[in-house]
Amino acid sequence: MIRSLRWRLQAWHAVVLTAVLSIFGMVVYHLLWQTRIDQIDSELHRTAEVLTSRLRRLLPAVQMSRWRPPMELPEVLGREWLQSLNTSNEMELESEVIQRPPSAPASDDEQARGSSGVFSEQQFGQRPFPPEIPRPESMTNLADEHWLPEDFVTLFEGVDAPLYYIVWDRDGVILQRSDFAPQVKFENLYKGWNSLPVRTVQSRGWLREVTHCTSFGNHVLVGRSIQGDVASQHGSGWLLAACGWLVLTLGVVGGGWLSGRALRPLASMSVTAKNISVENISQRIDLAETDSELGQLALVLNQTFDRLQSAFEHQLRFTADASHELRTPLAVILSQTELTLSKPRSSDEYRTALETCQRAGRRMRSLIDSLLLLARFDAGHPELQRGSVDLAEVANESVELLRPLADERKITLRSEVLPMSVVGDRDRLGQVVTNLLANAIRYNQEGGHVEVRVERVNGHAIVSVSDNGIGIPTEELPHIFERFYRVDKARTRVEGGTGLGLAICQSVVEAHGGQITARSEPEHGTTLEVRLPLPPETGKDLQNPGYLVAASSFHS
Amino acid sequence: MRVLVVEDEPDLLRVVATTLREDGYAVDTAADGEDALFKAKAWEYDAVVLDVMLPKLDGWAVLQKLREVKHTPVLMLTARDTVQDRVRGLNSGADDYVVKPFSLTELLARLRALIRRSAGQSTAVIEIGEVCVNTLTKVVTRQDELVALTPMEYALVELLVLHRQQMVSRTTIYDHLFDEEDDSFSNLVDVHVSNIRKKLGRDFITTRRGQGYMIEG
Repeated sequence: MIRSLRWRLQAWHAVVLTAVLSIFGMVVYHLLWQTRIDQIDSELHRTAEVLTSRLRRLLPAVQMSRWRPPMELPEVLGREWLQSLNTSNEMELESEVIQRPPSAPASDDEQARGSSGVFSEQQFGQRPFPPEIPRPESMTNLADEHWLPEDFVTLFEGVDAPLYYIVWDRDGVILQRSDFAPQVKFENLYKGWNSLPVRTVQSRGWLREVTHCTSFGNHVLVGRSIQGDVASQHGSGWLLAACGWLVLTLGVVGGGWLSGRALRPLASMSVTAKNISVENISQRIDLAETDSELGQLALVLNQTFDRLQSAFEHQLRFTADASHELRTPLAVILSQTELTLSKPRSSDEYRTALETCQRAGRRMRSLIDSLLLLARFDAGHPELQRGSVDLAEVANESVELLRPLADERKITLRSEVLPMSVVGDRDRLGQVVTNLLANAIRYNQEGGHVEVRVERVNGHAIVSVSDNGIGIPTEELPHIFERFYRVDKARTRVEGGTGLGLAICQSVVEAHGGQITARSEPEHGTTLEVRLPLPPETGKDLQNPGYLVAASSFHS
Repeated sequence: MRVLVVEDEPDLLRVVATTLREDGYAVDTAADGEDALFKAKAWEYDAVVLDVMLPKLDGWAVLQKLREVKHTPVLMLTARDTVQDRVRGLNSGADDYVVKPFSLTELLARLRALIRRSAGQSTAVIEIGEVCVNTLTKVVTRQDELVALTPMEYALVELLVLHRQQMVSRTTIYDHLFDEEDDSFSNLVDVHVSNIRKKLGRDFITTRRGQGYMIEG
């Protein structure tokens, strides 16, 4: 069950789906966070820009205000209103929301302020511009909050919670800070009067801050807590994970359903294939339902079954034929003896009976010999006595052997043979030639002729036996080498053939690495041709007349 | 009784034909399917012994074509003995089946049973008044005494008994009692009838002038 294709498919499906969903989820989570951070940053930048541009406008006043008494602000700014705004800011943001960075704990406020002042003084001492205006000694540690005159508070109009801000001058002196701003260490970004404005973004714990440095060295830091955003991002993450699980579950269930559906034809195919046996070998897989890739498989399987069926039927036919061929002479012997023994007979009757039995016995013997021979060839143990065989000699011997039969039928035997040596079993090759010759004589008309040729064509030895008999019908020609196949069944039975002669010829020739082919023209005769490979050294013999004949015919 | 034997193996054909002749049948022979079909259609055989594997037209085809016109009992003779073969044989209208190599006694017994069945007689021993005909042993008794009949006389008695209470024409008698090789004068039916009447009683066989003979009992 665990190893079944369907389960493995489903497991892989689940793994791939999980991987894809995880990657997708992570990317989406990251993008969400990035978008959120970008929004926060742009909000912070926007605010910082507003502050810096306002600062720039009021710069001279701001710069001067460090060592001069605060100037009167124009009445336009509406001081009362601004002050009320400041107090409302204080109320909106709870003090614990802002976590102070570990480097600047609340208890070390004074120390941090002091060091930042020292730092800014050292840094600034080296700068050539703006021309150093002597600073009163009392102002060195003047890092006091709300150092800007009260009136300058309008600068920070519209900077609402949760935003906070801190404004330093180029020496790190805090000019202004919102009430709930955390302690932030001053970091000098000022590179000189002709440098471009510098902006930085940094995260400190739960705080996100941007610092803008104006061309005059004033630093504006705007920050806010991102704790709420992180929490909301986590919420989004959980939502994403939940959606992922839902999609995964649906995907796995749906995948299971789909794979089951896709594999159902496979199951039905396997059931059909399992049910195909000897009894119902003609049964096939239904191709109507499976017109997909599985249809191809079904088609291939069906073709395999076709071949199996054909092989099986071939085998069955052979067994039936062999059984018939063996049972018939057996029936002759048994019934003849039964008949003869049923009552006293004359000696002539006994003689006839014995002769009948002898004929039947001989036929069985020849049949059994042939079947055993074929079985040996089939099993791949032809037991050939290999040696050098002169085909011309073999052909001549066969001709002499069959001359009496040919004379009896008034058939002219002609032979045209060239000496030709092949490697093979002399007796078996002789059997082949004799068999072919005997067939040619038997199935020829009286007064016909049979010709044996041994020649060399394209490096092969060719033994051909042709007759001018009635020929073999074209539709029968492919079957003549099949076992027990008979073109004219009645005649063969009278001739006493077993129906295995040509099958044996084919097996012998193929065991010698050769080929046997038949050509026939109905009413004009039949030619059976045995093509045997020649040993390599004689195959290149240019002096051989057979080769020259072949070559000249090639050129003509 | 006249029987057609179809077999392509000459020795087997000869043996079977001889056996049947010795058992009192008139036997015609055929060595291929076409010849067999022609003869089976042309004559009224009491039975056909048909080999399956035949040249020109195999046994199944002969049987099928014969069944289109006639219901002559057919006994198939074959080397194939699988269940499928038997079923196929019986399905295609064969009346019985004998597998090679067969016992001649069995063949004769099956053939006799086949002929008897097709004539509508289910028992082997048929009684007509005081005459009793045993088709199995081919023995006729009258008042429990054995009556010696020549094979031809017995064949005629058997034919008439199997078709008792039916008119049997002279042509039918000729057709059933004599085979194609029989050209002797022993085929004078009148002589045989008269001999049978001497042995089994005057009224055993009734003559219908111009029509034929019958056993009325």
